[in-house]
This record gives sequence, C-alpha cells and structure tokens, in this order.
Amino acid sequence: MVTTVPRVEFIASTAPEMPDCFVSIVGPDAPTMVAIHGISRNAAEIATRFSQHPAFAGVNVIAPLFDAARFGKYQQLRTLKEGQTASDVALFCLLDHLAAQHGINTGKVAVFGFSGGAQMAHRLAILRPSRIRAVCAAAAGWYLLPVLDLPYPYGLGQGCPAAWDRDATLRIPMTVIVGSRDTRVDESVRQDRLIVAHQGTNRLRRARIWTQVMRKHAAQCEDSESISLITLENGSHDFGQCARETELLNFVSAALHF
Amino acid sequence: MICEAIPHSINPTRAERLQLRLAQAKRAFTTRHVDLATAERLVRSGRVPVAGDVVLARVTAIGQHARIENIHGRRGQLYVGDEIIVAYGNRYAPDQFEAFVPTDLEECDLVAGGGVASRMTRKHAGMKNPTKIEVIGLLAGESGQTINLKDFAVRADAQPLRPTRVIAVVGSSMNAGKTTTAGGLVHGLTRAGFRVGAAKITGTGSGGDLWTMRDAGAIEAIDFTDAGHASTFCVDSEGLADICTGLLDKLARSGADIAVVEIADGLLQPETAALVEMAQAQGWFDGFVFAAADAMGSAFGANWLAQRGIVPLALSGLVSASPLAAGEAARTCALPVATLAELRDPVAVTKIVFRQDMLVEEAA
Repeated sequence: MVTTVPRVEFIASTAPEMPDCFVSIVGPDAPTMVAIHGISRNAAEIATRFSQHPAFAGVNVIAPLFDAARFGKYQQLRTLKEGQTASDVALFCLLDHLAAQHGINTGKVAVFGFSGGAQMAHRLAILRPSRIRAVCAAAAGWYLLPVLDLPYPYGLGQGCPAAWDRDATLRIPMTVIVGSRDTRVDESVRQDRLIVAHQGTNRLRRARIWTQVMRKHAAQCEDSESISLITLENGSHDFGQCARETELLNFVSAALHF
Repeated sequence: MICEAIPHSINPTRAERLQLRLAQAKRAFTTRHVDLATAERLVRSGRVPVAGDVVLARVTAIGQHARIENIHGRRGQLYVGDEIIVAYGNRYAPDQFEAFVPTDLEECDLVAGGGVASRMTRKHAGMKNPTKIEVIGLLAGESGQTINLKDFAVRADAQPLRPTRVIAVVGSSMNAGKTTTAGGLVHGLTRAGFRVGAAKITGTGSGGDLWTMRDAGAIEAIDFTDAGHASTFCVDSEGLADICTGLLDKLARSGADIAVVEIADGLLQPETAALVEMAQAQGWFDGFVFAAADAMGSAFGANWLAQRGIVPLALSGLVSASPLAAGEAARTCALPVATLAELRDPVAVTKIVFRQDMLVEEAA
C-alpha cells in the first residue's frame, strides 16, 4: 500500500523549559520552518497539513506545542506564573535540541503562525529578529505595535522584554494573511480599550493598520524587506478550512521563500 | 427512507413474484450492499451454502436474537413466520455463539442480529438458544448462480492507497472496550482537526460499531461487510489481507488523513492473531492501541505484542476506567494508560497517536 508523504512524529519535551512538538524531518540540509498553533493547540494538524503539501516536501516542519500549564501566555512571549519559561526562550531551546538530535539547521528559521501563533510569530520578528529568517502571520487577533508610548504587550513601552532593533526586524520578509471571512467580532477577538483605540475592532482592520505602521518604518530603513498583506479569499478563522479550501499553504510557501 | 411502490401485474413472472416477496421481507444489515434487483429466482436443489451466500429464510422460533438490524441500522422486532433476508457466515463470539456455515439447506440459526445464518455448535452459558430459521432458498441470478456478498464488495485499486496514519485498536477479548477506545480516538482526532476514517476489519456483521464511529465524527465508517463478508471467522490470510487493504484504500480515497481500525475479539483469536502478524510484517499500521479488560490482560497482551515486535502507543479499554487497575497495568507494562477522556481530548490524543514508533528492536 502506498503512503507517500513524510511522517509527522510527536516528540515529548525532555525538560520543563522546552515544549513538546510535532515534527516532520526530511533531512539535515533542508530548510526549517516553525509552525505555531493558535489557542486550540492544533500543532499536530498544522504539522500534518504542511508536511502533506507538495510545496513543503523538502522542508523540515517543526510545530511546537505550547501547553496551557507551562506556556499560558505563549502568544505574548510572557509567562503565566513566576519561574516559568517564556515561549521565545522555550522555542529556541527546542530548536537547539532538535539541531543537536537531528543535525538540522535551526540557526535562522522561517516562522509561520496562525491566530495566537501569528501573534507569537510577529512578536518574534520584532523582539528576537536574530533567529528569524522570514515570518508569515495568519489570522492574528491583534498585534504588537512598534511604539514606545504603549505598555507591553500592546506596544514596546513598559514591560517590554527586549529593546527593539528596528533595522534587524525590517530586514525580515514579513507577510500578514487574513481570511476575507475573518471579520466576525466574537468573544475570541479581544476588545481591550488600547487595542480597539489603536488597531480597530476586527482582524482584517487590525492587519491593515499594523502593516501600514510597519511599512512606514520600512520606508525609513534602507535595506528593509517587503511587508505584504494578503486577504485570503474565502478564508475563515479556521486553519483547517483555510488549508483545505483556500490558497493559504501556497501563500505561506511563497512568503517564507520555500 | 424511500419507499418504492412495487408494480403489480397480471400473471407476474417468477422474477416479479420474487421481487414482491423480497420487498416484503425483513432485510438484514449484512445484505445492505446487495442489489436485490439481480435476484431472479430462489434455488435449493443440490446447493451447498458458502459464507456470504444471500438467503431468504423464515423465522420458526424466537431465541437469543429477538430483533434483526435492518439496512438502515434499526433493530426491528422479529416474529415467528417473518421472512428475512440474511447471509450465511461463521461466528466466533466467546460471549455468545460459535457457529459454522452448514453443509445443507436445512433449518439453521440466526446467530447475529446483523443478519448471519449459521449453525450454532457452542454457546456461552448466559445465552438463550439461537433464533431458529428455515431456509426458503438461496437468492440466485437469472442463470442460477448464487448471489453472494462478495459480488458487491469494495476492492482495493491495483495501486492501493492508505491514509497517512493508521492506528489499530486490538484487545484482550470481546467486550474489553475496543469499540469505545476506537470511538474515543476518532472523536479526539476529529476535534484535533483531522479527517478520520474508521474501519472494523474483523468480526461479525453489525451496524452498531459503525454507527458509533459515525457518531464520534468519522467521515467514513466501513467494515468487512463492505468487503463482502458477513463475518471473518474462518477467513484465510489472503482474504484478511484483501479486506484490510481494500478498506484502507477506500478510506484513503474518501479523503481520510487518519484511519482508526478495530480488530475484533482478543489477540488469541486465530484471525485476529493472523491479521496482527501480517499487518506488522507488511507495515499496514503505524501504531497499536491495546484495549484490555483488566491489568492482567494488559500485561499478557503487551507481552504478546512485544514478542511480535510491537510496543503499543498506549493501553486503554476497560482497564483505564479504574485508576488502581490502570496503575497496575502501567507499572507492569511500562506503558502509558489512556483514559477515554484523554482519547477524546484533541491535544492529548495527538500526543498518543503521533508518538514515535516504539517497535521492539528484536522480537523475543
């Protein structure tokens, strides 16, 4: 019987500061993509969809699983309780571990995130640019604005875990994707006063505002990379639906230069 | 349900009379794929039934099975004198009957509510005698060839496919919790975003397990009856291989990402053992979940599997309902025990199903 796609495997965490993950490793010379789940924590599904798609046939896919108990605020690179490890530190710990175990190159990785995963992905580009090669943030609920007069996690002001290296961030190709049907404002779309005031009420509006802000910064940076916004026709706020029924995975492939 | 009016005609032909009679009979689940329009006559003389032959029979005495499951899954009441359409098959059910296809067309037994005609040889002490049926005749086509379930079976393509991940649920015995385990896996994986197909590869024809899988979220639920068998007791290795590859091919072509397959009875049942060994040799399954009734059964089953190079992804089944029994099983087998709640949880179940292969280096 024929099964042609690479296998996705679950790898359990071996340390409290490292998340579990689902991986599809195709080889040490292959480029590596990190794919980050949203609040449903569907890491297995995300790893499977990418590994099955022809555009990612030659890509090592790593989908970390940020469990609620250890990584409760993973989207914001923050911790829920004192003594826990922030998700960015945990991710890089995992990447180093996988590099040592499998010989894959995880020095600079392409990052995709959906919903809460997209929040983490774009925050990595802003706050941890040295490990990021390209970013594709799909269906983020809201964004980290590169302004100093808003406290973290809304802006880079009070409580921000790192100083912003603007030029390093803008040298990362960034693509923001939002489904054309992802405009519903339900309980999953945060309506904090600071978010609504600076970014609007729905995901599509917020994506447009964030890309405009980032493009203004890019205009002041000589060697900036592109910042793209794609409205995904027929896309809803459901990764599975977007993967099955829209061009999402093709757009991600192009965005991350695979 | 669509009710088609049966046309009446003056001086109906034999075939027309038969169609009227079949339309009024209670048709069992096992025969649901049979195109009854191909039946032109009933045959008896000189015929020796074989497994899968479709038979029109009359109920002569109500016993253990007072109901028959129809093609839509409803269990309808049986009455003495009812005419029923069932299929011949063998039965192996430690909690019910052992039965074999008879070598004649004399009175025999309804040994399964899904519609299996057979002759009971042994029964569980708690069972009543089987419901008795009188064979009216085998259904046959125009040229007299007997109509058999295999005539309407799904068959694997020349290049058979299989879903990208296939998880087999095996168990320590009948009623160890295999179907509940399989249903839990189907539900959890569906909630995790996967399109899950379910198949029951061996057993005795009945819709109950398939409805369970459908209710749990399976995009497709099929079994050996789809492959032309009323039951799989006494089916040879080649037949079992055809069933397995055919069903997995059908699930893959239905778009299932993951297949959850259930193998009936316990590992000591001959067809179950043969299928597990064959599947392991051929690489048909990516992982096993072992459902056991108790800790001792878990220990034996884990050892039996280990001797064949298999380490289950998890133990589950009835043993998982008791924390104390689950603890004994986990300690003895050094394997995780998955509760039904964990199987149904979309995150927990993926950790189980996508665990790395844990094949024993060398079979003991």
